[in-house]
Amino acid sequence: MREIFDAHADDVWRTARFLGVRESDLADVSQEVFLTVHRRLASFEGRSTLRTWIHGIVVRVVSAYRRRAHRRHEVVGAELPDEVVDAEQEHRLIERERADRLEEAVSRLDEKQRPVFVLYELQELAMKEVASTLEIPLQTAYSRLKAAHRSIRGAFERADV
Amino acid sequence: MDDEPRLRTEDSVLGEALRDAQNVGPSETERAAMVAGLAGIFGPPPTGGLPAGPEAAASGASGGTSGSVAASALVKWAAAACLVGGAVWWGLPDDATPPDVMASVGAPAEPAPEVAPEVSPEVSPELAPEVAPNTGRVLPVTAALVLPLNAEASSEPTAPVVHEAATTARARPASRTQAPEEAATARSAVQSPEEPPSATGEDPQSIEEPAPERPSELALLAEARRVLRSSPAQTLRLAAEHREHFDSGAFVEEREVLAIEALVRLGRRGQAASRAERFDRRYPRSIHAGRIAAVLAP
Repeated sequence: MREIFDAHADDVWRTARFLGVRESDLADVSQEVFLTVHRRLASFEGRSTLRTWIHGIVVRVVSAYRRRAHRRHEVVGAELPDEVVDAEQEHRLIERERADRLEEAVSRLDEKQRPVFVLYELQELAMKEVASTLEIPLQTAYSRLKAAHRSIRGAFERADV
Repeated sequence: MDDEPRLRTEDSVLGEALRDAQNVGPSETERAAMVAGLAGIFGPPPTGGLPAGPEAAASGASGGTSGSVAASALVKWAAAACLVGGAVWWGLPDDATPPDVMASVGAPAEPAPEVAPEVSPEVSPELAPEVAPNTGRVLPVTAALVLPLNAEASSEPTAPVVHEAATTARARPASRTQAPEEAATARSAVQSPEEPPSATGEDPQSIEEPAPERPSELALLAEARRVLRSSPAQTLRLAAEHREHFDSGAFVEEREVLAIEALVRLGRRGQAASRAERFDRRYPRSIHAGRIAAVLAP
């Protein structure tokens, strides 16, 4: 189980985060995911990869979390240093800014589009896996992905103006 | 079987943001908190010797004792670090690695590393060859790292330099342990023997964290390197730990190469590729470029 945790902790964390779990709740939600994985591991039939299966659990746990909490995703802006000291730091500032823009854009996605986008773009699941993880028809997954792409692109283009 | 072009492949700010986002993960502190909370489901401690082997502890213990090294040697050390990275660090002759990489790349879904670990991977006999040189004697991690590597790399001229570099590198952590207090607190909370068992009632010993003291930068990476084949996920975790505590350290490039290789071994080639891109941008003249290319080669 520890090996599973080590292999998937980052994925679980990342998916939960981009699905809108507040920073302060990420550890709890991730733990809940792994407890669920542990509980249900015996029922894993190997019809998908373990990774895909775990993502299905993340999506469900996060969805329950959001129903429970009714919390809006909070874009947590990390504290930036007061002054840019060197190129390395400047580079990090730019990265941070970019990351915030992405989080903001993802957080504004429609509830149904977001998991499709996160699983496909950030976790690199194949669309077939995305559809089966979310238990939706493949075609539906595609149209949600396209809509999400439009929306995310729009957000980035607007920000560029 | 790529369904739809992924935005992350685009050469744009958005593509870059997505590639960066693929490296998001919990900090070491957050991870330690999770590990503590999940101790109950991690099962009993393996008996064989944990991935965080004796060399990590040895280095932790000896971390501050190499005071005899002159400070001016730091400059030489930095230069030597490059040598370590280029010629000796990896230890594996270039021609030895591709088959390994191919082996893991050949099966991208990699059911084995993901599912098999259920059967206590830490005591797997596969580990033996890698563990063997370091058990039984208390070698400083750097020596443990360098000795077998020299034998393999057969690049004799670098050997003396490396030894000196290693010694100096060990001396550094003492002055570098300015990492967040809370991280240290979290770690000691996880490891402290007085700490009551977690809510789940599991023996805290089952948490396979290394020594009570935070390992030095080099020890961390030596360990990450050591478990790369047997447990790339652990390598990734240690790389994350390095990133948290030593992000301005002397072996950032080496860490990144390890992380990239670990990602490939885990079948996460997309993430490996994006991390490699970032690496190229940040270190366009790195001596590790060739290795990264080899690791990523289909």
